[in-house]
Amino acid sequence: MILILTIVALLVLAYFGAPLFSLILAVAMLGFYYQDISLMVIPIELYRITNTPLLLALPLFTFAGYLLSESNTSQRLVRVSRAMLGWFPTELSVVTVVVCAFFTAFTGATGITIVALGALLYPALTQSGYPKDYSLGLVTTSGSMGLLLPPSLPLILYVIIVQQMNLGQSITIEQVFLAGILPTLLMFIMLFAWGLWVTRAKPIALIPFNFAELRHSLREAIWEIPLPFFVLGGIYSGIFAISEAAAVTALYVLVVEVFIYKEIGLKKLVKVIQDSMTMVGGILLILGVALALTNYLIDAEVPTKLFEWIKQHIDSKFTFLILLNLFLLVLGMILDIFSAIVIMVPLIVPVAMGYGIHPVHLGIIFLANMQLGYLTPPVGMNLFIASYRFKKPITEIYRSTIPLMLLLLVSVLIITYWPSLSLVFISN
Amino acid sequence: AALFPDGSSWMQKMRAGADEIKEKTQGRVKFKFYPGGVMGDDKAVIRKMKIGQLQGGALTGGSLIQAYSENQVYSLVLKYQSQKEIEYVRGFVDPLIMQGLEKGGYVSFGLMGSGFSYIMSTKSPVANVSELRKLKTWIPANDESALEAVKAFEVKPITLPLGDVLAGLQTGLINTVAISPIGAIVLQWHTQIKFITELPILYSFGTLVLNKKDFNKISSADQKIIRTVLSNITKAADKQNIKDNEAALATLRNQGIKFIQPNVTELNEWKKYAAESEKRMLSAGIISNKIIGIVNGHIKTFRKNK
Amino acid sequence: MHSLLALRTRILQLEDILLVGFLILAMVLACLQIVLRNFFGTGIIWGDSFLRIAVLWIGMLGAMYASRDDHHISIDIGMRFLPQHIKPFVQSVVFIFTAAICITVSWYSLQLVLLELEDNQYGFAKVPVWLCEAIIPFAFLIIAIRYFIAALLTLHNRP
Ligand code: NA
Ligand code: NA
Repeated sequence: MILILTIVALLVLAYFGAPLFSLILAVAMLGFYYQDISLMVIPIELYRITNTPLLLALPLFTFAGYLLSESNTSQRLVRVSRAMLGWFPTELSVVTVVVCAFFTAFTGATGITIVALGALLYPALTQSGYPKDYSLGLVTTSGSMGLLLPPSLPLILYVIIVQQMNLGQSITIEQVFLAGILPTLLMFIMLFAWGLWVTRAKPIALIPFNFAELRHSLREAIWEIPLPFFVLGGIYSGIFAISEAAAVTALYVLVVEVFIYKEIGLKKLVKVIQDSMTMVGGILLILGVALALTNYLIDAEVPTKLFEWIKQHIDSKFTFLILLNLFLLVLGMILDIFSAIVIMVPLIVPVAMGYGIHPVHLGIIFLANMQLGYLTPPVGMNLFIASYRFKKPITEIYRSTIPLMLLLLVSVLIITYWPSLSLVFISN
Repeated sequence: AALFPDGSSWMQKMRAGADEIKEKTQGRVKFKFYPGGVMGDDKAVIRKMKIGQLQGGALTGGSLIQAYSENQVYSLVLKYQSQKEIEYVRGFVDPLIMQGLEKGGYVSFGLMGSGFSYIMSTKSPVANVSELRKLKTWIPANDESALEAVKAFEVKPITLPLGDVLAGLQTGLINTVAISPIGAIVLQWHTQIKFITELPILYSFGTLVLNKKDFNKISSADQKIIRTVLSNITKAADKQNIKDNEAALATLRNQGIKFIQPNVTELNEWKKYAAESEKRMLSAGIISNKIIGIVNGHIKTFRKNK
Repeated sequence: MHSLLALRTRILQLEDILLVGFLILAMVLACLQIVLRNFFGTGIIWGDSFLRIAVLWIGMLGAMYASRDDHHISIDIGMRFLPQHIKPFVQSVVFIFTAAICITVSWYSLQLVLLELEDNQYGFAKVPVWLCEAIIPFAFLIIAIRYFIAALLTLHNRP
């Protein structure tokens, strides 16, 4: 009875706008209290933020993203994109998806993609005539497919976990990266087709390739265009590590926007830092308290018990996969991706292999589903992040993201039930 | 809590052991496991033991320095020449370390060796110290014994997050690491490695511990049962680790990695630097003359009888 | 009252300096590591540990910032359907709830910091862990105070 009252009270508080972090904390604290565990565990979990891989990328890429969005980069970007690829239908949405996916592959977190690139790409899309809802949905979802591309850290972690298990079958990182190619392409084509469909009434005008215009637009953006090449070149030539790319990017953008284009003065720079770090603080706080909640769920063995329950209700490979999809979707909504991999992979892999599912295929299913969980209303984390970044009500984000999320759901189902799509390049 | 992932053979043994304890104590003592590092790194696990969320854990020797710093006597650079030698010494010194840990508040059920780390490089072979100094050597951040080792050889190390190492080896950002053969394979670093120096640089170990306060709440009969079962598991795991490391070394050999043997002069040079590091550990008070004396005595006997 | 306002100004200034300082420092240090490694074959040994702790500090300081005007992530659907005269009451209940949660976390974080004080573990270089953790109780205390004041102001300024 008390439990139900508490839940209702928290839901009411949530409905009237209580900060998400305080609600998550309330649930975690109640849980620990009933488990008879000292609440000092909450700061211990918060402190574990310092051990999260690649997390420095969040503040630094966010800062860089804010600098770019506060200057006129998006106009320059649109101009270059139009001049170079304007002959290709819905070229800017294709560019958006590719850039976001690429970015996610390197940061390992789709949330960072939304915060860092969103405010640059969203205005670029709307300026070029794409519908607002579509643009909002696209920047919210685009990062998702990057998790299946190298050098995505969650994918590597999956391989490391599977290798340490006694399975009698070993998998390699190369296999899993190969397996991610076609599923990524599938999701990409789905989003592309949707872009054509959405703009069918008012198609984005195609413009013939014009070398002079390209040259002008490139000259205008001469300092911004080299950035991705500079960063990738630095990584592949061994000058800096992936985890350092964010710092290099931030410093580069800072120098370019403040000292070369001079579109941001020093006073504004301080403001940009404050604004962007407010956003980072809001997101990191949620990540931190989500760690605490995850820890409570682990302590109470909730994911394990849930999976045990599911296992009892399986009678075929088909029901297993259906339940697996649902289960992972829910997991993606509540757990961070690294905890989810570490806890669930050892439980799921042996069962899945019992149904003849290849561990490489399972890795793709796992991540694709988890990713979708972040986009699933009502509590998918990326929806909140998008609402926060674009200063739009969460309901508007739901509305604009749902069609794209459904498309990705269809792709995830195809990926799940069509193993060859993932396994075609893999020999054994 | 344990950093081993679930489903590994070690965790399977732990679960079987927990069932045995539960049965023998008629359900008075039950274990819950949190494998795969889900409770956080060793430092977080120790914090959680302090506040009572966890009662025990599988921890590395390095993380228990606060409880008993002399456990680092096994991690002295180039102190031991072979697996056999350290096994011999451990036969005498393990009990001392367990006593020390118990005084520090942790009941240990035995030590599990994770094996020696070796210098592994991608660019060029490392036979002597100056060859190592020319390379870009990675060490983990916040790892005291690794730091001690590089200090000993006057190498300028590169610290990067663990997640960057594989890509770093690929791109040439770093070209040298020191790690155990099992570790190299699990983390896939072996795919990049071309040379391994056959020098057992430093030995590391882990141990299964319970919080002494919590352990003392259990009846002495039950304590005995727990001790028996858990020390058996520990012993088995210790043996298994030796085998696994040997198998891992063989795998590395078979995939065409070159094994480099330093010559006598080079060997003496390595040892000269290592001896300096031992002196530093002594003067820093991390280990005492007493334990060094004990260890040296056993090493001497072992080498005489060889 | 006057000294309280002065204290508030001081805290705001301190937040500004720390937040901007930590971000710039983190960015510069990470880039410096690259330069040191490539041109001098060396690096700052505690650099990586520092950067990790800097992320925590930046995050907590940012969270303090976000609480200045209740700019935390929330769902906020219900409030606009409420009649004007009820709104301040509901709003202040929500604020008080948040303040209560934060003050509880602040209290337990302080306990943890005190517990760590007994050990002399280092967070990075020779900086003790307790000092690195100290931002947690501090930030939650400030956030709690801000939400508490916001609740009072909402009631006080109601139409
Ligand atoms: Na990202
Ligand atoms: Na997330």
